[in-house]
Amino acid sequence: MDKKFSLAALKGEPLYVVDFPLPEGTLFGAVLPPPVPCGELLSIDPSAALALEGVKAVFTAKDIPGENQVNDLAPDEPFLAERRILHPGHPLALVVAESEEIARRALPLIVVEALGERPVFDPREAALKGRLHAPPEVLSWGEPDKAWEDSFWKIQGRADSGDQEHLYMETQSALALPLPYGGVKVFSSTQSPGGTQKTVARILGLPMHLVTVEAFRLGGGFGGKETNANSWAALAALGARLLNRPLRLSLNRREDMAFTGKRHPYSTDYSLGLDREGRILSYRVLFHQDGGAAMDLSLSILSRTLLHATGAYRVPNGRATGLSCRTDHVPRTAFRGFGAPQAFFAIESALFQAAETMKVPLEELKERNLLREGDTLPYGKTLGKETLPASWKKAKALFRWEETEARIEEYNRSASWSRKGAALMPIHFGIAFTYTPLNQASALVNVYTDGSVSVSTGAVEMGQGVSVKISRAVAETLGIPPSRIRMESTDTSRIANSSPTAASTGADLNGEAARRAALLLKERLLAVAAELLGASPEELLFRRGLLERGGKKTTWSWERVVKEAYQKRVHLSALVHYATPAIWFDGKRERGEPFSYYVSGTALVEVTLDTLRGTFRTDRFQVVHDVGSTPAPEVDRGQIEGAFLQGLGWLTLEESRVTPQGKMITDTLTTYKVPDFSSCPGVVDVRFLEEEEGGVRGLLGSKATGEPPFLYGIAGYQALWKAINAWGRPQPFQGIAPLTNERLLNLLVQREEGKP
Amino acid sequence: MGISTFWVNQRRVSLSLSPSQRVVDLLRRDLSLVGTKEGCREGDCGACMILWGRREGAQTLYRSVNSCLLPAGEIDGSHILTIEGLSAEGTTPVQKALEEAGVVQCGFCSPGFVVALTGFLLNSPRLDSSLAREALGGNLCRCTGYASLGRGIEALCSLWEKGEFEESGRSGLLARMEWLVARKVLPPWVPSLAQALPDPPPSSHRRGSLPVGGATDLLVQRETLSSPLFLSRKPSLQGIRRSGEFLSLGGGVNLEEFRLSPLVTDLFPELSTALLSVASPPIRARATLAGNLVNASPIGDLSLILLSLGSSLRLVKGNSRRTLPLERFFLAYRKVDLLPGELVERILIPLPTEGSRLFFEKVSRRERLDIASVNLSALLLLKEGRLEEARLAAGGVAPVPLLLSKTSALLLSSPLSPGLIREAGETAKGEVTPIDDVRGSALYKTHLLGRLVAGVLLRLAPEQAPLLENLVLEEKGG
Ligand SMILES: Cc1cc2nc3c(=O)[nH]c(=O)nc-3n(C[C@H](O)[C@H](O)[C@H](O)COP(=O)(O)OP(=O)(O)OC[C@H]3O[C@@H](n4cnc5c(N)ncnc54)[C@H](O)[C@@H]3O)c2cc1C
Ligand code: FES
Ligand code: FES
Repeated sequence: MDKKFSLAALKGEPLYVVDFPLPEGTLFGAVLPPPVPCGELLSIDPSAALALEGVKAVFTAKDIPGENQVNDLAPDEPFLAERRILHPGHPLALVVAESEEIARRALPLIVVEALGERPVFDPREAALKGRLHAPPEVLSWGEPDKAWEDSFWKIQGRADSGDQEHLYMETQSALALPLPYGGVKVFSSTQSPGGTQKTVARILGLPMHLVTVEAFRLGGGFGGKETNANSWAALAALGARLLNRPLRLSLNRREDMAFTGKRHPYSTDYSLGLDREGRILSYRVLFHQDGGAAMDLSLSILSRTLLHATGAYRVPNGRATGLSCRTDHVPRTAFRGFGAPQAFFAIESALFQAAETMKVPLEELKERNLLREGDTLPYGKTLGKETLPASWKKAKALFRWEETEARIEEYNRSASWSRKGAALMPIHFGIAFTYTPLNQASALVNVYTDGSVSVSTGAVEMGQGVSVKISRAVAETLGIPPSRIRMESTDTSRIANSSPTAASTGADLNGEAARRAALLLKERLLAVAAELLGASPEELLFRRGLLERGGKKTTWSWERVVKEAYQKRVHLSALVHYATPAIWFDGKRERGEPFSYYVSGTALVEVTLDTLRGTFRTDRFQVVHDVGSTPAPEVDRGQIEGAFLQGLGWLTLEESRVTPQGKMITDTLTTYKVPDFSSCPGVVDVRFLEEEEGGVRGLLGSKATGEPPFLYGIAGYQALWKAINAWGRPQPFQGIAPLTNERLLNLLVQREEGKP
Repeated sequence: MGISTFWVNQRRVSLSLSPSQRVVDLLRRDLSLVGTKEGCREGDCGACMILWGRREGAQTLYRSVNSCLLPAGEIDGSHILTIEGLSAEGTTPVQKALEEAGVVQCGFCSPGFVVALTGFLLNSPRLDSSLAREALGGNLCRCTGYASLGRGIEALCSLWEKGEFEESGRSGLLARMEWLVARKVLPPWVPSLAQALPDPPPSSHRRGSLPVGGATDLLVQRETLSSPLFLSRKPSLQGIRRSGEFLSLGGGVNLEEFRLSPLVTDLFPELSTALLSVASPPIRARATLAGNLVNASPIGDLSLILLSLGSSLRLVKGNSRRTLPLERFFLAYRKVDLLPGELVERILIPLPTEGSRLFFEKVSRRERLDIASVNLSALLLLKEGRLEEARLAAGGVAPVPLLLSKTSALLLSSPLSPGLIREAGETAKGEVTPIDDVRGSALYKTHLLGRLVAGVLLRLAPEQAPLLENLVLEEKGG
């Protein structure tokens, strides 16, 4: 991490949106949720709320000057409910008052008449009713049905994974300031300033150049502030514009948990056909994605699910069908992994079941089917140089897999009321936005006359370390110390049309744009220096802020060259655009090259299950992970460790609960549990795969680390199943998640009673 | 409203405060100290952590507490140290160790971790990384997965000589403070300020006032406290002492005080570890035993423990007092036998029979800082293979914290054996009426109860464990 920022954070100095000093006269907003989970909105009477002292206004759909629409792609999500209440988190009105307390106190005074309907919360039920966000998406390759017929082992089953609350520590918040000429400036905790700007402009009926959105470092995002930040920013902007006063809107934890979208639950049917030796012949899979009440990013997420349907394995024939089901939940949204975790969960469940049926060790089956160079992926891409097999081999050796298995077998024979399990899990994750146009970025690098440098890009820092990676790339390119570089906030007036910071592409795209901008500046400066020294530019370079000629130090510093360049009227700023080369995807044929490269790795997770109480501990998480030649190993280590625990939380701990009437009963940290220090494995051991040659990579030969390691959580899930299976009489595997303590105990009891 | 005088970092502040205003708001809004963050406002995340110093009787204490649940009415005469104050003289060794371990990702949780670790260094008897980890039990981080924090803690705990650290704490908090000042963990002005803290003003009892213990339940349930009576400042409700055949605990005693009291741990050595599963360190430093009882939550951890210990309550209203066995205190779901204006003055625990042991079991969704699905406390006396005393109480399985009288009686009936353990589990299941809720289905809770009964018995008699396992696994299959 950036040392300066880290120290500042440990001193409490960085300002998140709710920490900004407020301009004189700032008002505060609160959001009215619907009284019914979904149904018809008949009337809203705000008079009692307006009568409360300190309340300035109550705004509803009819006050919207522009288009009452959140969705950029298809108009399926009215911003404030107009006639239909779409879901339990659908905002009905914005109360503006002199303080947050007054605004919230006014909410129950608003009288709402609505006709509730019975909500549909189950994606399969929605699918049966034909409630889909789009026609089914199908990715088919080889001859799946024939290969199924030819299979010796035929495995059929179901895998259900649950939702997940992002639980970024900083809740959704925005501060909007009215600007002259009808404009508005919004400080937003958004992963996508560009997207937020577009939404605000649409809703306020303003051209985009009258809306500026600026994001400083977020207190976490994980995908939950990609589209999900837009509504709150737009509400703040709406109130600020209509009242011509600054307005801050910040959700409290309960509101944030109840009103904002989460990870998509999937309910999946699979049939996996294998030959006698356990080679996969056919994999047919049907995903029921619970998309929630509006499509949001569900279709892109579903696409990534399909592209990753085969996990880290070679599958010659298959068909993946995805249904994005329109349930009445708050629209589901992006969350670290973006549909890939659900795909991996399904194929890993199928393999687990296959290993059980075939009575072969799970890892043997995995190894037999592991992707390698020359294999063809379902969408027609043939793999080049591939690091997956190396990571698998190294993990097995380094972490002593065979010994582990033997030790656990012995433990399980002798322990009482305790069982252990361990699993190895390979991952293979494609890097790029699956929607090709998003794979572009720009960067603005300014060199000031004192030699200090500022870098603006479209990337939002939210803890993933993108700013460190970019600033190191710029420092290295310019040949100056990183301390001379300042990473700027992300601002739509400095960087236009930026893509969201998502899909793990933040550093690759924005870093490459910044690197190229730095390159331009360096060339300009070296030309100046060459002229001054009577040298040729090729002889010159900057190293640690000093000009070198033919490998020898000169008396010229970076600062001095910059000053001279200014005197000579050389442009000291560069704005550069970058688009990832060589990626394309034909959505109709479901064929193409959608990713710029792949990230792979192999993890080992070991757990101990208390078979009396139905609780478990993670003993160790060890991984060999391919990060390429990373400019910031400590950032990558942190990403891998954090993503793993988040993935494990998804599959073993975290669970939202909504009553049949649509009331969220897990809207606090008391009722919704995320991993804490006690959930952290006893041993955490992250190794980087040091491959001399890793094929295509991203920024400076590095590989993205934000999302892929989330998948390692599945290793913990499988380890837990193995421990369960070491107890009592055998019972069939069920691909259910999360394996909460309650589920664990039920499974143990079943194995004691000998009935399913 | 009244004028309160207190210290925030180096500054003396006099302000007119509403007593129920939360200190987190006071800091962030009124004093613009925004390094203290708010992540949940319910005591569950630790982003709002502060060090809170005040005189309590003869001693001065500084504890990590959640400022989101600290009512401003409590802070008159006290000292609040925020992250800004801790950082006033430059980077501290805590910050340096954490920075080097790479614990900062989004950074939102970071100040809270620094405060909690500084509180650990102030109060811990030993420089021990497992104690430090426990001290962070009230801090959540969504980004790092805690591994880097673990490394930071290791580094911090190897900065100084362990013996020297222990020594520095022997003669009290002020000596430790000076020691930490010399090592730049604390700014130099802290000890003198700490020494000069006045006694907090006594709380005044008015008719109709609301008794407030640690407010850890009250401020989660409601936004404001009207006419609060702060019990932490009523001398008659303080202290833990031996009184005749009883251990007498004041109605204002908090859970951490109880957990660490030598009087308690001498009698019940298992208790201090068992209580680590209750709330978090900063919550335990505020939450009172009496609050836990009056709350009457069916899963109140302390309610169960005190029930199994056969406690009784001394209740006071004006000048009239009465004593009530605890099991008669719980009337119905969240209803207790307490008159308006009546206070729990003392909690009386009969001294246990020589050789009896207390066991506490709790299963929740997450191991730490979570409310139980089912919890169980048992006071057991085993002699020559037979239980001579057994008093079991269970939570989460009935509208009130429940004494398992049938199960307790059954356990005395024959020598301890796998068969008896099983039967006890089954009997317990028959005594209870759990419901489906967010903490689990009724069926789950029933199963869990039976197993926790076995759990306490197996901890008492570990040699029974393999026998019971054989019985359970082989019975049906033959
Ligand atoms: C984050 C968090 C985690 C928690 N975890 C746990 C847990 O693991 N286990 C658990 O059991 N509980 C837990 N709790 C619940 C709660 O904090 C405890 O029950 C606590 O003991 C309540 O004590 P208090 O002093 O804070 O009560 P307060 O909130 O001050 O008061 C609670 C009630 O008791 C009354 N009262 C308090 N003292 C007296 C007295 N002496 N005489 C008469 N009436 C009195 C008050 O008027 C009020 O009605 C948790 C709470 C939080 C916020
Ligand atoms: S804000 Fe979360 S504990 Fe106080
Ligand atoms: S660093 Fe983001 S929550 Fe801890």
